[in-house]
Amino acid sequence: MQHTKFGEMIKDRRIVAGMTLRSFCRETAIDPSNWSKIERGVIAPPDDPELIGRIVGLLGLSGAEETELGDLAAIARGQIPADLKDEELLAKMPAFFRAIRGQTYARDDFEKLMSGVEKLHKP
Amino acid sequence: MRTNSEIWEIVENLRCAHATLKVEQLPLDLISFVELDLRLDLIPYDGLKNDFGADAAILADFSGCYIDGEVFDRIDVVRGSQLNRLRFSIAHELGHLFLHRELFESANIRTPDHLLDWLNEHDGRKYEFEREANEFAGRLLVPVETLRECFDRMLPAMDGKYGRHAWVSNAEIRSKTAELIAPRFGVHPIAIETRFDREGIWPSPF
Repeated sequence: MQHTKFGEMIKDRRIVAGMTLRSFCRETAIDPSNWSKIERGVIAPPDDPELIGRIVGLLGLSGAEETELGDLAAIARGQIPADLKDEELLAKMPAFFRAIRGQTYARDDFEKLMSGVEKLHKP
Repeated sequence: MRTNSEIWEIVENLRCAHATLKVEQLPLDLISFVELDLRLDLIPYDGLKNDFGADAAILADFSGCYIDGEVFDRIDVVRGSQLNRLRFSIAHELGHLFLHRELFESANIRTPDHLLDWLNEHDGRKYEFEREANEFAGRLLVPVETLRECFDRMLPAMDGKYGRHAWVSNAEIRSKTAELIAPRFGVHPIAIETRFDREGIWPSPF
């Protein structure tokens, strides 16, 4: 499958290999929170050849796929991440909340929640 | 409003469609199901539980699910009640995904104010949605036939020790039975007691 983004390609190949985010990160000694952002295109891919080599080996990528991955990484590193538009931020908010305390959410809570969501989806 | 039977049918159709949910693999590995079968992103959110009282929350575009950051960091090592709670929370969020996605999308939320109202009220149906998501989670994590098998295996011992009339109406025996069964499914014993009632497994004392 031809991919257009580094994160999409990695996620796709990781899933094909049957690895969850955490198991992949454990095998490659990468921080899962950061890697989650890389897969979602929030932050740029790593440019450490040794790390890329480990990933290529772990996912069993062919030579052509390794080249494709490198090209996509270079493209992603050259892009300036765009700010989240309002509607994009809303799309990343929770749709439902299983509030264990059973409370309703005040505006202050909601704004805090929104601020936290924004941080997870921008560099 | 969906009936329990309708919710159960949705759950069992999912179970048929995904090997990860087969009853031979209990407790269910919901992390693998979410990430590998459904291809959803699990995104750690620091403070989700402390600040907002939630272990997990499905995203409004249904592309992923937030998980409390502290739990996510320890997902490989958490055991017991913490893991059971996380498992139930994820199953509950899947309930929203499979039961309520269309309703959420039809609400056509375009502003933060509207979303805040929705999160607090779900257009006046919050209790109903939460109940349905809980029922989905319970049925998913505790397949009825396996629960019945576990219960039936314990029957002769309970009959022999207490006599049928005594144990049926004894809350302590019921709780103890649920405690013994719960680890098989990776849920809190209260979830088992709920399934006893909903599935009609624990006999009525009347």
